[in-house]
Amino acid sequence: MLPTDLLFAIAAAREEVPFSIFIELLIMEVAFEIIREASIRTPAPIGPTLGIVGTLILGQAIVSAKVVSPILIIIVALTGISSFAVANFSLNYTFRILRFAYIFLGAFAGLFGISLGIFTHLCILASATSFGVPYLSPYSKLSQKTLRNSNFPVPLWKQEERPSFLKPKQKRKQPAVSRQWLKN
Amino acid sequence: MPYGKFGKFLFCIVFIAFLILLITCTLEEFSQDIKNVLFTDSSIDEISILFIIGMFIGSFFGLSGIFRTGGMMFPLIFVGLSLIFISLFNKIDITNLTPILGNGANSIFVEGAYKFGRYNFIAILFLLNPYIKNIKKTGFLTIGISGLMITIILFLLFGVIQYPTITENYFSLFELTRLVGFGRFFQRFESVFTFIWIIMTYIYISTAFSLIIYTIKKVFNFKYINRILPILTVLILSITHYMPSYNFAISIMDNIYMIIGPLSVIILPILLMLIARIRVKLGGKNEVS
Repeated sequence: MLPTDLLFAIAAAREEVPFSIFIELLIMEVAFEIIREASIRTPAPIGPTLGIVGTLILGQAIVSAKVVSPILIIIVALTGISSFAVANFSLNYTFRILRFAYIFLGAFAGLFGISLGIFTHLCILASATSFGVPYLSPYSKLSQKTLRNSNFPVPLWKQEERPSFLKPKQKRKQPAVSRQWLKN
Repeated sequence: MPYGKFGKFLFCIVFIAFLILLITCTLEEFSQDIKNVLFTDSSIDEISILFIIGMFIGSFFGLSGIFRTGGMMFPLIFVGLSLIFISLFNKIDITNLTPILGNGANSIFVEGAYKFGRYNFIAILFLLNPYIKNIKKTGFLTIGISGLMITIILFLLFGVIQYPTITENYFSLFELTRLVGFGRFFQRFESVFTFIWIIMTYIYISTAFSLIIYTIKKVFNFKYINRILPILTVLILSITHYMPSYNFAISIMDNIYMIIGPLSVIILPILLMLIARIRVKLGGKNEVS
């Protein structure tokens, strides 16, 4: 899917790097994790300095020394920043570990390995339940009603039914016309 | 042995044999295709082991997990396939579709009748009955969506690539994805297609394998089924590795699967259900069910 010019640019950037992409990725990911862990444990005034020294200077030096290619720095940095965009902070720790699992799968079998990882991951998540409610509800059972209350929520006064995945005894949350005319 | 129990036993054994044959042939066929696409230097056995691992994991987490995974993957697959379809519409040459009946009605409807066996997998709707609330609605929906997809794919295939050059079952759609191009940046969508293809195969063989497990549980009254999972996985792996070549798998598909398949997994269950219905109507015990 990459345009040929970009592909040539990536190949040219990797020309002088002695390691395989897998080793490059591991070096960068481990370095990134060390910086992140170190910045947590340092006192607050030094934290940002450490981040700048770690990311900018070390990143520049590592590319100049031709240990890793610049394109890999971009990919690892983007992945690292994206991990902070996860709304649930505890889930972020899981992603940090799983990232290594996916790197190994990708190195082992490429797209096929990553597909295997995604399938396994989805099967584990999809089969998990909490008090009888599927962990991935409402996305695991797509229907017009579930989409209406999750991805494209309608106004509150129009949300007349309770989510079906909770199997409620009383299915209706409010009548069709919830706000009646006031009678004096 | 009461007739009902014998019918159930016969039906289950036939279905288990059919599903094992289906999985092994699919594994051999897909592994060969994946080898051609992704791993040209690897052996088919190594690739099939990866498929078997996925199949084992899928079955370990049960049918509900596989169904929900399929449900979540559906929008992604739908978007991916729609992108492929939309981007290929400008490459369709209507003259490729002519003559409409090709080599004649006889070669299509009479000589090609045995290819009805390609749709044998519809028979698993019989087995899915206990797991689905409204089997009638789901069945029609499944057949409708599958039919629509097949029609669109075939229309694109014949419109874009000339008929004599199409020889493979799955590979032709892969060839189509290589022709995709939105300007200079988005070209050659085969990675999208390959991803969809692999995930679908995992779902397909995991479903078939889970149904083998549940059928065995039902017919032999096993309490725990997870213990027989590794044994059956090794059995299927052995049968797959026993196949000497890709052509052998294709010949099995053509000779046994296509001809005996519809008789055993579609006509036999319908006959059994008819007998059961007649017996119930005559006032006998509802043994055959």
